[in-house]
Amino acid sequence: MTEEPIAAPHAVLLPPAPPERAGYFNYFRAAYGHATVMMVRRMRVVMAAVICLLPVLIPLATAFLSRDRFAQEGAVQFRMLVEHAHITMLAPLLALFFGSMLIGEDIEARNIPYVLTRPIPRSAWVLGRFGAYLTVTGTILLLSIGLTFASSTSLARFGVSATNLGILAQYSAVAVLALLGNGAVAVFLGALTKRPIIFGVLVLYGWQQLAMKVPGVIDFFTIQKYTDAMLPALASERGMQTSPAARDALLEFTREVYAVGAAKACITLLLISAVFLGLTVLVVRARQFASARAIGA
Amino acid sequence: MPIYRRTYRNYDGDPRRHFRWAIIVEQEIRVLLKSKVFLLFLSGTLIHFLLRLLQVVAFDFIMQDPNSPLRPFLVSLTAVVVNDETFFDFIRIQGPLVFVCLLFAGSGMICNDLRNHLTEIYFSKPLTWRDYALGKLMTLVFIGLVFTAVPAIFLTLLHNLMMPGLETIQATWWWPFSILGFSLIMVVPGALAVLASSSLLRSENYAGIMVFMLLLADSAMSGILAETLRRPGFLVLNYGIALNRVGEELFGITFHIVDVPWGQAAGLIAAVSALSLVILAQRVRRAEVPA
Amino acid sequence: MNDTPDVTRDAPVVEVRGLSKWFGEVIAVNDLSFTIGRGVTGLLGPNGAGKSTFIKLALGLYRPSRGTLRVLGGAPRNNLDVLRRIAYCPETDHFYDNMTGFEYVYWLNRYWGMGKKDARAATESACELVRMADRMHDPIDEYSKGMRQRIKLAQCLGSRAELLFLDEPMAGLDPRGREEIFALIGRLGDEGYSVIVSSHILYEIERVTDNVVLMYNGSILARGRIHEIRDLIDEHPHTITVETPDPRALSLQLLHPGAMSVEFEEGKLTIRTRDPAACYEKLNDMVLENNGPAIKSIRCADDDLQSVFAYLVEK
Repeated sequence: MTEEPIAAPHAVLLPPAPPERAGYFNYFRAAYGHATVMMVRRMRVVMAAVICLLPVLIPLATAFLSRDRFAQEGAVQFRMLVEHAHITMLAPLLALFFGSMLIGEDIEARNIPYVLTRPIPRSAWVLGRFGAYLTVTGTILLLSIGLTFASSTSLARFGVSATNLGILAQYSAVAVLALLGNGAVAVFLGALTKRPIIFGVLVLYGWQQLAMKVPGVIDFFTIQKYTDAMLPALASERGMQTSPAARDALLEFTREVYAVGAAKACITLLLISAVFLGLTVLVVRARQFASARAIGA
Repeated sequence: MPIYRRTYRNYDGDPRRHFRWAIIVEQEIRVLLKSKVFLLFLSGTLIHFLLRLLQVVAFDFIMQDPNSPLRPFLVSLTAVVVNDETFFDFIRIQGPLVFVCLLFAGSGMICNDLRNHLTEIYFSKPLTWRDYALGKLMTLVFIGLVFTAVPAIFLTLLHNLMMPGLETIQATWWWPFSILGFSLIMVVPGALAVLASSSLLRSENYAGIMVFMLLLADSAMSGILAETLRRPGFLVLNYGIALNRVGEELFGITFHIVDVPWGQAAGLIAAVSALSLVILAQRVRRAEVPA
Repeated sequence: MNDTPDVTRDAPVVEVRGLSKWFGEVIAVNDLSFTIGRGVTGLLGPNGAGKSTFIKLALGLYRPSRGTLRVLGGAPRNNLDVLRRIAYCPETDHFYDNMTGFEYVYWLNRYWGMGKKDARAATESACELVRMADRMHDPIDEYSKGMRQRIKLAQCLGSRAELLFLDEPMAGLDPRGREEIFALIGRLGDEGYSVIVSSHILYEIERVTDNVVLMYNGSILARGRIHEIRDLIDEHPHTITVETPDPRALSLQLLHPGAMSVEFEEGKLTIRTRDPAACYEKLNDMVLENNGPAIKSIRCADDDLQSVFAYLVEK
C-alpha cells in the first residue's frame, strides 16, 4: 500500500485546530456552560423564581395579618409549605418548565443539528444540560426553601436550632431529589415528543395525582411516592389532600398504602433518574431530529 | 421617492364584509384534525360522553317503566339520576381535558405565526388584526364547545326525546342555556389566556407552560393563604373553584363544592378575561401594518 | 464494515452505494451511487432535488432508509471520529436566542472539545475570516440576513474540519458578500480542504468549482465538469418570447439556422432555438437599427437550471 496519510491543512487560513480527542469532562462542561447561560439569560427564569418565592410570603402574612397568629406554630407551617408547595407542586413545575425544554427547545428551535454534527458524546451533552438544569432549578428551589425557613421563624415556637436546621437540610435534600426524578422524566419527554409540556402535564400532574389516589400499588409508578417516603415522620397529613367528592367515591375501596423506607426510596429515585437519563441519551442517538420539513419541498 | 417600511403589501381588493375570521377557523381546525394527539383527546371525550349516554338512556328507560324493580333503587342513587347536576358535572369533569386541549391547540397558534412571520401573510390578505385574533379565538372556542356544550346539549335533547309528555321539556328548557353559558365561561377565558400567552412568548411549549404555571401557582397559593390565614374567602382566588362556583349559579345548584361568593368568582373570571384580551389585542395589533 | 475513518489521500471523501431516503410516502433521495473526491464539489439541483437531504444523510442527521453512505471512510451517524473531521453550515436561519454572534460561535466551538481559551481564539479568527469581527459582539437578532449567513459560516470554520458541508451558503448575501464567500471557498479548496457546496444556482457553483454533481428529483442526473453542463445548456433549445404588435413580420426577420419552431399569439411571438446567441444578435440589430416591427419586451423563459434538468430528464 502506498497510500500516505493526509497532511494537516495549512494553518494559514483557519483558526488553530481543536484537540484531537478532548476529554469527556470537557464536553460535559461545554454542554453545562451553554445550557446554564441559555437558562439564566431568559426572563422566564425570573418568572419561575417569582412563583417559587411566593411561599416565602405565607409565614410572613400569617405572622403579620392573621387573627390567630399566636396559635400558628412555625414548624407546622414550614413543613406544610415545603411538603405541599415546594416538593409536591414546585419541583415538578420547575422540572416541567426547565427540564422538558432542555432538549425540547433545541428541537423546537431547530438548533439541534449544530450539536449533533459535532463530536460531542451524546451522553455528555444530555448530562451536561441536565447538570445545568439541576443547578438553576436547585438554586431557585433551595433559595425559596431557605427563605421560607427564615420567614417561618417569625411564627411561634420555631427558631434557628440544630434540630430545625437538620429538618431544613433534610427537606432541601428531598427537594433536590424531587428535581432530579421529575427532571429526568421531563427531559426524556422533551427528547421524545414534540409537545413535551402537554405530555409533561399529563404525566407529572395528571398521572401522578391520579396514581397517588387510586388504591393498590400503582403509586409505585410515580416520583411523588418516593419523595413522600423521604419526608420527616411528622409530615402534615400527607395523602389526605383528596377532595371530599373523590374521597367519597373511593370510600368503598380499602386503600392500602405500601410504605417504602427512606433509603430504599432514595435509591429508587436515583435509579429512576438514571434510567430516564439513559433513555434520553438513547432517544437523542436514535431520533432523526432534522424533521421531514427538510425534504426541500 | 417613497420609502416603504412595511414588510408586506395590504390587500387592495374588496374584502368580504362579514365572517372574515371564519377562514382562519376552517384552516386551524383542518390542521388540528391531522394531529393524532388531538384525535386522542377527542376520543377521551368520547368515553366520558358514552358513559353519560348510557346513564341517560338507562335512567329514562327505567323511569318510564313503573313496574321496574330497579326504579326505587335508581331514584335513591343521586349519582345516576339525570338532572341539572348531571350536566354541570359533565362539563366540570370535562374541564381538565378542555384545558389540556386548549393548551395543545392554542399555545402555538400565535407564537408560531409571529416567529415564522406568517402574520404578514395573513395581513396581506383581506384580514385585519381583529379578524386574525377572532379567528384564533373562535377556533379554540369551537374546540372547547365540542368537548363540553355540544355533547351535553345532545344528551339534554335525547333525555327530552325519550321522556314522554311535555313536563320534561317544561322542567328542563333552560338546561341548554345553562350548559352553553357554563361551557362558554369555561372555554372563553381559558382560550383568551392561552392566546395571550402565545402572543407573548416565542415558543409554543413555553406559552403552554406559562398558563399552566400561573394556574397551578394561583390554586396552590389561594389554598395555602386560605388555610394558613384561616380565611376560606381566599379560595375565591382559585380559578378552578371560581369557575365551578359560577357554574353552580348558572345551573341553580344549591349545594356548593366550595362556598365562595359567586359575584367575586365571576369578577375573577372577568378580570382574567379582560387582562388576557388586552395583552392579546396589543400583541396582535403590533404585528399589523396600518393600511 | 469498519467504521474507522479513512485518512488516506486517495480515498473519496463521500462514498454512496444504493442510498435511498424516504419520509413516509415521499422519496427524498432515490438509489444514489457515486463517490465524491477531495477538493471543492458543487451539489447542484433545483429546490426539492434532495440536496439538503443528502447532506443531512452525510452528516449523520438522518438514517438511510436503504443503502450505505461513508464519509471519510466511516458511517457518519453518531460516529464521533467522523464528526470530528466534518463541519456543517445549515441552509436555514436558526440560532440560539439572546446570543451575540461571538457567543453563538464560541459555544459551538466548545462542542468541538475546545477549552475556553482555544474556543475564544478560534471564534475570533473565524469571525475575522468571514468579516464579522466588528459586529461579532452584537446580538444575532440585530443581524441582517447576510450577516446571519456569515456567522453561520464562522461556526463551521472554527473547527479546522477537513470536510465542510455548506448548504446554500450564498443565500441572502449581497453581491459583495457573495464574492467574498466565493473567494473564501476557493481559498479553502486551495489549502487542501474538501468542501461540498449545495446550490440551485448554476452561476454560484460555477464560481467556486468546476466539479459538480447534478441532482434532480432525488436522483443523480449527471456528474462531471461544469463546462459540460454549460454545453448542455447551449445545446438545448431556448424559448424566447418577444412582445410585438406584428409577430408574423418579426418572425420572418428572426429566422436563423438554429430556429426550431415559432408560435404566434395576440401581440406575442415565441421562438424555440438551438442558437440563442444568433437570435439575440438579430434582435439587438433590429432594435439598434430600428428596421423592424416595434419590440416591447424580450423574455427568455427557460435559461435556467430547471429547464436544463427537464431537458436532461427528457434526453
